[in-house]
Amino acid sequence: MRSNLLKPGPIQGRSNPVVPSISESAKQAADEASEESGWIERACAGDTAAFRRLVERYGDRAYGLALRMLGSPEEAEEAAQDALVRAWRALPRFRGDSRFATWLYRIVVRRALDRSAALKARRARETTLEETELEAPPSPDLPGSEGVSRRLDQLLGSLPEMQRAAVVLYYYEDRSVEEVARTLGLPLGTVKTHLHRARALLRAGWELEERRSGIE
Amino acid sequence: MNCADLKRWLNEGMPRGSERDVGEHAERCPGCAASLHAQLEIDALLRGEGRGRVEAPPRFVDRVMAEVLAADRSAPRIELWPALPALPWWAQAAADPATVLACVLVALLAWRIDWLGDLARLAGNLGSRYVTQPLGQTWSTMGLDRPAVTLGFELIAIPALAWGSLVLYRWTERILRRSTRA
Ligand SMILES: [Zn+2]
Repeated sequence: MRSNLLKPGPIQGRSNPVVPSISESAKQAADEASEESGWIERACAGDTAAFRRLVERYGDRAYGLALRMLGSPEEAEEAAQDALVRAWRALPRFRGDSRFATWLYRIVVRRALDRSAALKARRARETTLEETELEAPPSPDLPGSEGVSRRLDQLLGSLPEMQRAAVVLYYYEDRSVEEVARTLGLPLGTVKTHLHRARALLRAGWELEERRSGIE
Repeated sequence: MNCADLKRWLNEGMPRGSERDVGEHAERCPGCAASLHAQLEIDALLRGEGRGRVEAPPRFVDRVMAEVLAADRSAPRIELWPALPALPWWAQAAADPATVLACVLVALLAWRIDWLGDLARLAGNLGSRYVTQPLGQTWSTMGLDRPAVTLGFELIAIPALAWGSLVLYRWTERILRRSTRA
């Protein structure tokens, strides 16, 4: 069940988007799921063409997730590629007790966190302590990433890794809190705390930027 | 509602039911009004308004598939420290069962150092059957048969041997698990 506790904006009077009828979208989702489980089964048995279909379906999202976590397109591509190849190797161990997407995102997040740790260690070796403290991770060049969007991306890049991962999965990848917890391997309460703290940090950074731009 | 309540409400994702109280407080508190405004702007962006979908670089799928085709799934990858690479090396090493076993062995041998002598004698007896005389002489000429050097070799060899065996054991175990599943 999807927890909507943290979904933003109940006081904004959001208008309901035009969506296809429930039965229509449910049927489409069921078709996609059955198609996907066929690909997974065949890919488990070693069918690379079936795995290709999975990569075509999830490649962009795996890359997008890595990009939002790492900030650098090159690093994101490496991390996503590495994660997908690992997923191929590990697929025979995929038990199907979580959604394929959740399982794959877990691998992507792990690869991104590893790369991020390695990058941080490399940067720390290359720069002095003062520079490291001042340095924020690069802000990804994302579509619509100008003005306020870019500001948010920069603030997102300055969040601690787990908070950033939780925000990216929950808001951008539209996962439920439960799925975020499963993906990150954290208790539900910890994920909620990460999301609460991330909102507070993002807001504080945002207000600071507002005040700065007001002074200038 | 006070300022702390309002901040908590914003952090929790603005759950329904408190909108009126929030509105009333924000009207008489400019700080909270600014926070509320900032949060609404952030949430609009987080919901993806005006944000395009991220696309992987061109030919990304092809590159992944080239690696997939090159990756031999049947051959397990030998990773000496497969888990938790985000941790510092000493934490990973400490968490490795092989290291733990090696440490226990070393501690055990340090505690009963006389066992080392027995082990060396046993190894010597076994070795003398196979090691030829010239090799023994070279060993002696180079001064490598001094008790201190022998002890040093043993101290290095025992944990290394323990670690190596355990890695080998885990590798075999992984292959067996894979073959029984297949
Ligand atoms: Zn207030």
